Amino acid sequence: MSRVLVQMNGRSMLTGPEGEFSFDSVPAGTSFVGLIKPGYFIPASKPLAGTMGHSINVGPDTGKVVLKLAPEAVVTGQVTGQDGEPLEGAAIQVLAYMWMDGGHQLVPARGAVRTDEDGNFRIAGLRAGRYYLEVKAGNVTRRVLGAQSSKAPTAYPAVVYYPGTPELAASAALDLLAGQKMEAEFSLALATAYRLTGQLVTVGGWKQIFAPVIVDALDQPLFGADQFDPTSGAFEFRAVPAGTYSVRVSGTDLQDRHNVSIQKMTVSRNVSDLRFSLRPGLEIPVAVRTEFSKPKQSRSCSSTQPGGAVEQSDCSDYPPARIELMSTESLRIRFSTDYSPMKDPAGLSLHGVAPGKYRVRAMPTMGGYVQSVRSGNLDLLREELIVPEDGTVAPIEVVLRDDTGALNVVVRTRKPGEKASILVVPEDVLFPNIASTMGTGLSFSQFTPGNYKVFAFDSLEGIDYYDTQTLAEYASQAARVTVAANGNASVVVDVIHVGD
Amino acid sequence: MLERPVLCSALLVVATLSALAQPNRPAVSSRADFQISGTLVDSNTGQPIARARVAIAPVTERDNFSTMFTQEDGRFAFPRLMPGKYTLSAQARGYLLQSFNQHDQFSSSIVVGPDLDSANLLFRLPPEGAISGVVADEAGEPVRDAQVMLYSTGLSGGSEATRRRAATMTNDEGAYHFGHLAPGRYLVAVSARPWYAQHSILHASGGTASGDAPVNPQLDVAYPVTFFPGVTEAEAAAPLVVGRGEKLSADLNLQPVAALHIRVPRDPDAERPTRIALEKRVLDGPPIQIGEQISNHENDREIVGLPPGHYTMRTFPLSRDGGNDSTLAREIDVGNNGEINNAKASSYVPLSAKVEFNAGTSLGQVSLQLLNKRTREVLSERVGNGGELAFKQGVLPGSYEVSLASSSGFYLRSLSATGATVTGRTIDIRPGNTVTLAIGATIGEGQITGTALRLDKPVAGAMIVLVPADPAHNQVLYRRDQSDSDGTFTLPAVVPGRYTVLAIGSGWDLEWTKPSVLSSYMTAGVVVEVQANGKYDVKVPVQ
Repeated sequence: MSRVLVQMNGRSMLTGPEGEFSFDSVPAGTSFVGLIKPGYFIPASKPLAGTMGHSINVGPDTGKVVLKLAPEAVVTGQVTGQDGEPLEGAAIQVLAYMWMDGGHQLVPARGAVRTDEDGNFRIAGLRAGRYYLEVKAGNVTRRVLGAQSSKAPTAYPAVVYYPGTPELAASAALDLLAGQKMEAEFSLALATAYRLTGQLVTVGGWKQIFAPVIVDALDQPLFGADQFDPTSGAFEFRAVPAGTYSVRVSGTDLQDRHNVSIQKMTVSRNVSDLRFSLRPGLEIPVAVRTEFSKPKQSRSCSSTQPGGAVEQSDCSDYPPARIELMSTESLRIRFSTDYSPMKDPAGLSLHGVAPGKYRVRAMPTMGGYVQSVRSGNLDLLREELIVPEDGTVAPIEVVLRDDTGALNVVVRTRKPGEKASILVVPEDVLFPNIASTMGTGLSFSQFTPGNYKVFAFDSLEGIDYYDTQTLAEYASQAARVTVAANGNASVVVDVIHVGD
Repeated sequence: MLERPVLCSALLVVATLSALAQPNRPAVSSRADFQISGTLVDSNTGQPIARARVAIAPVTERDNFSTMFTQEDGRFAFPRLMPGKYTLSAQARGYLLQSFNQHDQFSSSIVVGPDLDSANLLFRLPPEGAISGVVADEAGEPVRDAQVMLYSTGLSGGSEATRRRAATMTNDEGAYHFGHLAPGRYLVAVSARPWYAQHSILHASGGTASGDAPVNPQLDVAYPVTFFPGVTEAEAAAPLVVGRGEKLSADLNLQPVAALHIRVPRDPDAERPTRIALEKRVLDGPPIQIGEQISNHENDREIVGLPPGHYTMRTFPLSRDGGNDSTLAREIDVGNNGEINNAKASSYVPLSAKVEFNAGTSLGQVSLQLLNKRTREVLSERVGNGGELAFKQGVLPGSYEVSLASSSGFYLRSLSATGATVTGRTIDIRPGNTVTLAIGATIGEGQITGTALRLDKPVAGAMIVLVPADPAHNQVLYRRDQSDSDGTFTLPAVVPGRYTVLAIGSGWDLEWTKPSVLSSYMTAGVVVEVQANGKYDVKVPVQ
């Protein structure tokens, strides 16, 4: 392939007409070669993760190296509306699953595109993998003369998944191969749309209140309010087709903090008395306790003050952990504790937490591991935190320790010299930190105590190991080990031959 | 000049029997006996348009539509209507969405009632044009994610101007498309980065070699902003003339040039960290960002990936709540690698103002507007609670007309300035000064209604222009309307002063904002002295 950008050790060049490239004075050992060409990817199995190049071993005898690139997949198609007329301005998006923040999330794989005058769309730049296709046409009738007449408004469905269902669970996945060009058609029908008016009720003081927005499952806008009066909170949605929706309600409070909550609503007729509420979020105290037995490493922290002065310290005035709340209803809603010099670094707070369901993640900032995160009786390492609309949440208590143990993993191979992909997966936690490597064994001198499943795969091709379901299929072939505090654990694991 | 929102005029096809000949006919009929009907045709060919949406709505309830579709004969009919005025609009694939007899943002509504003929209307729809093309690089390969901008050039809204109309990005095939274009002259400009471009810091501070390997000069390139058919000077851009319904093709090739590096040393006096961005105003349109900022170890900045040209260098504060801080901006010309000391110098002049209101506690929304006489761009800033406002980004030196935009009828009565010279409502700003304006605002805009007549007969569809005294320095005071079929028109929100009302039969293609163009019509115009809150009715001869 000609005109491919090849990068190695900080140097770059474009390949020649036969795809040839050469770098001089490359140090012996493993080097990373990056390859970039619009419309091509390094072959990989997951649609969204992927590397930018190959690792190659360079020695005195290394001859010509051949590297490969895989072409992008492209999805094209047409959206037609009532009476088969091409629909212009519908938003098309390609989605894929990605492991993020303790869960398997559906995220956009590329930016959204809109259909042109002929209803056609084209999305390129897709790696091989499994995708879902959605079309959002609820707003298209705004541009159609008379369609949003106040007498009898009509609208296209807010979200439709390929091949034509409003339910993601019933949609057909597109399994794309490298270089594949797939065509997808959508045929949409106009439906009665309803007028929704109501009031956004605010509790407490707010600097700025935003108009409510009807959003989809990914917290992306479907319908903006056609009218909104920030003073009275009155809002109007002129033409919303029947369905169940999430409504995003947000504002900036007097402390300049952004508060967002998602409230649900079902639409089946005109409604004139809708009520959404914007309340000051909850203040959740967070207490961090460090139970360190080993001598502290010396550290140095510095921060720049507003005047430009730089302050240095030994970091004891910084919080030993950072706690983050991630909403299960929207990727865009999260709350976290501050990380800056504090008078009482062990007494943190989460401010303005909107009602909803969250997964809690605690990350040590100065060594140690998270031994427990609790809110009252709730074990937040394993369960979700529910923040109620009215009421409080028990303070979050985090315990950090440094009494790590040692772990030694040995792979029992069938053939000598066989290498396996080793995974050490914490059992039963919301945010597993999976240690992985390729080899015949693995050794840690400082490993977080806990229960683990150890897998040794002959190949990780096609295995998304953050997918708990995938690992569950191989669970019976994994070894189990418990690492005790200050303990010494050892485990032998058999190779799992995925092909068998 | 400020355009007022759409004013509709009524179309009345005068019946042969006048009302005076039928003394027994009731003055108002309230039966739904009437209809609007006619044929929708292509304004180019005269052929009927099938499968078009035609909609009417009462002017008092503009979103209460009744819609129907035309068949092969292009006919539309809305029977059983109550008397009154209705908007009539049509939309079809391949045609611009228009209201009946539309000129600029003015159109004619249909008057329906006894002895009024609202049937057999001939509704002409102009076909829409399109411009599309492919952007390719020096090797003939498609350039994806290039920013493509469309400008219209020529007479529009009464003045000769180049205005940006749309912007889009090329797809993976390098293709772009601009649809729904009205007939006119257009320019296409493209801004993109070579996908393989690699830039790193050229100026190592202190003269010692940095740890990075030297940049491959073959890759340290940039694309200058390029205009169809492939030139980099705006004056050489070739206009694309879209006639009615034409679909034009405009492909471009981008050629790389050596990218320049501009070093901006860190300002030791800066209170907070800042970020620098270089913007370019293509054809005086909205600015686009060019190049990227790289920082080195000592926090010196270098802007890389720059084609030579004229830029605005903006400095933004990086602090989290720095939203209210003004940014520094200065104009620079980049021709070679170099260094720019960014401290303090700004081409933009800080401008603040205090508005004194003489009446009323409820101001509604009031904004101060500055019309740049050269670029015709209008800068607008809301007046705050104490009557104070500031243009946070500053304004470029130049000549501006000052006016107020208010929903409650406030207008500018007096203007004085420090740091700028004032002539009437025009301020001249020179570089280097700080400008403070003191404005007196008063409530009481007036209104002029009237009838356009030719030989005592009302004329429909004429362009009515309200010309202020000293028009060259008071462009913001012009008002326009389109006369009804009964010849009537309304000119609202008139700032008190002396005016001449003109009615011009086919004035829609005139460059009416130029005082010299209208001077020959002025002697036959009607002079009106508008007092505060005054309402006047005049009869104006159509020229």
